[in-house]
Amino acid sequence: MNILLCYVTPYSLIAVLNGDKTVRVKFPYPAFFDNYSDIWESVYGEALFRLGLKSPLNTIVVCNSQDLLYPLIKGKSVKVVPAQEAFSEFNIPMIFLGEKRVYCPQGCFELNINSEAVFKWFDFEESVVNVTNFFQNRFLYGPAPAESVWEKSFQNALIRAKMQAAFRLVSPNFLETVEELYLSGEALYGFTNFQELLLNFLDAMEVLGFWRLYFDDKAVLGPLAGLYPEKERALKILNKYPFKRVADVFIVPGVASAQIIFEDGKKQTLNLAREGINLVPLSKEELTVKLRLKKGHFEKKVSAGVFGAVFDTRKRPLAFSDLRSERFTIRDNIRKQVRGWGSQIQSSNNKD
Amino acid sequence: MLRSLIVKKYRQNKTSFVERGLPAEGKVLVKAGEVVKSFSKVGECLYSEKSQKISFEGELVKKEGERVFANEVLWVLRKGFLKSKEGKAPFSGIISRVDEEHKTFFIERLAREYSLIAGAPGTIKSVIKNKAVLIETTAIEVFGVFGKGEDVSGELVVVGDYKDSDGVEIDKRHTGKIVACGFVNSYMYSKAKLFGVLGFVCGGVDYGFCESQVGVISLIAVTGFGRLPMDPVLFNYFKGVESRFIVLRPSIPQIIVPEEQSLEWAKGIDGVYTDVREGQVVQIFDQSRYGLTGTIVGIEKDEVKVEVWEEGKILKLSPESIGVIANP
Repeated sequence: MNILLCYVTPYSLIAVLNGDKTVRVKFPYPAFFDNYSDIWESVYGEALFRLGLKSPLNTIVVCNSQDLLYPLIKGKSVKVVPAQEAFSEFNIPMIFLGEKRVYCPQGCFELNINSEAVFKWFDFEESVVNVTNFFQNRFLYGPAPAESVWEKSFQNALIRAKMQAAFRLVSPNFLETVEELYLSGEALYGFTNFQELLLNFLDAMEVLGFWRLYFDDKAVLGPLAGLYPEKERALKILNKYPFKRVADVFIVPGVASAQIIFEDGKKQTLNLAREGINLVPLSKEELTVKLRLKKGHFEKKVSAGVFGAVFDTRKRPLAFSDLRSERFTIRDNIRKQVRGWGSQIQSSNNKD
Repeated sequence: MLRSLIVKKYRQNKTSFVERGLPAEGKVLVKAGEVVKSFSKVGECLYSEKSQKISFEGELVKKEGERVFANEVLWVLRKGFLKSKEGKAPFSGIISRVDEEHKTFFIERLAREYSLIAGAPGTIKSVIKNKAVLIETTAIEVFGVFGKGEDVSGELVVVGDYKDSDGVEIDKRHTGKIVACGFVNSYMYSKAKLFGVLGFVCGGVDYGFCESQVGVISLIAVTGFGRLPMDPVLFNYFKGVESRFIVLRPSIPQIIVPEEQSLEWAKGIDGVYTDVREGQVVQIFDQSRYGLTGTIVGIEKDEVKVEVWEEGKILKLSPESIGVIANP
């Protein structure tokens, strides 16, 4: 049976048709919202049009009950599920980073990001006034795709600020108990800079442990959450959108070394004594990583992702200098290191 | 076919309402149903502007309730038999509320006859006895993106150009008027407070400045935050109707310009989304040219080629980075 799954963000609608096609439709400009009539009909009609459909389908819409559009959709010919309910019942180990909120299986939390938090991580010598103005204009006209270097830097700084706020809100118990972690959400829609994504994740994560980090760049987890009563079906559709396996991440401050066991039984010791981020590029083989902790051993299987296995031995909580220049020097050094990793991975994959 | 959002900034409304009120209770001269022109007198009253508190030293030479004239000596400070200091009346009026303890008094300006004109051509829809009238008129309604301050109405005056206001001096020519410009800076706003400007309509204004300082004088920004231009079509229209009576409603935020003619650019486009076509006039939301206006000159696979009016340059943009203002 044809089914259209929709997720309503504060600025756009993300629709997934049978797991075959996705489309994102931008909502009317918030500043002029009252000047448009039949908003839901127009947005829904536009989604159908862009998907090449002529008539309405069996549709499930996930929408936060606090959002402006919720009362406009409720009572229409589609099934509406409050996002809070859909995400908690869907119960996937995810962190869904939205424009105004973060969702995880424990619930929904408001993100209170201000322009200073974005400016803190903005790359260029720019006045705070200009960044604030651009930040506020996003509320008036909604976000536009990041095209210029300036916009990309703004987007990255915004994601970093959001991710740090989000990881402070999500329960550490949840993070400690999951091994796979899905990063998703409209704030990350179409974000292709995996190096920055990984760095943002490492800088935001304050819990120690191991995670296989996946990334849902099309934010399909949002629409799929509406299928929570039929989770099997949702997961079947999910298989059509293979998530990027970004990295297998160890956040292990104070660990001096790791033993790596290859498939053929050969062993190698990785020196982690120097505090920082270390990477083991992987091709296709599955490795076993053994770590000796204060309270016993820790052993995990790791396999290829965009970055392979990543060991972050920096002490938590991370301290970021108040001095812009110092903060940027440290971050740029890590960036250079990550770029180096990228080339290693490239050459390693080419050899395969 | 690429699709884009329609920007709904303008509306030509045949049933727009303008309220005109007397500054003090007086007499309304028209009845409901009556047709009025812009300069029709619709009410009158006796009105006195705000009184002014003045401090004094020594002795007052005028008594409470006494009539005084501009530059007349009001108080004198003596040292022995010699006069060491004196204070004069800043304007003509009546002495009131003398407070010997705190050495202050007020001068109230003399009440003068005030005539209320309609400001907008139309039909009187209703009358609030002795106080105000509501006029139904045809108007261009411009929707802003940010507004702060109280509703005000007054004569429109245009300064600078649509992009910025560098070199613009606000002075007594702008007293009691609504100023339209490209960008409002803190210098202009301070001078406007000094000279009693009623309101501003601008393309852009800094967000931080709006948050901290704007409020005394009403302000509506039509493009966004930052050094952003006003849509040149709107700016040129304002220039063409300079000295016309307009209304600012910052709470909506909306600007009402009474307009009997039908204007093509203000008609807008029906719907929410439209096919992207060559010749359409668009607003750009790309950071480096945020708020600028352009014309679509070509369409490629996933991109739209827009010729920026101000620069003549052609940009390649995603359809999500533009909003269609008018069809060709």
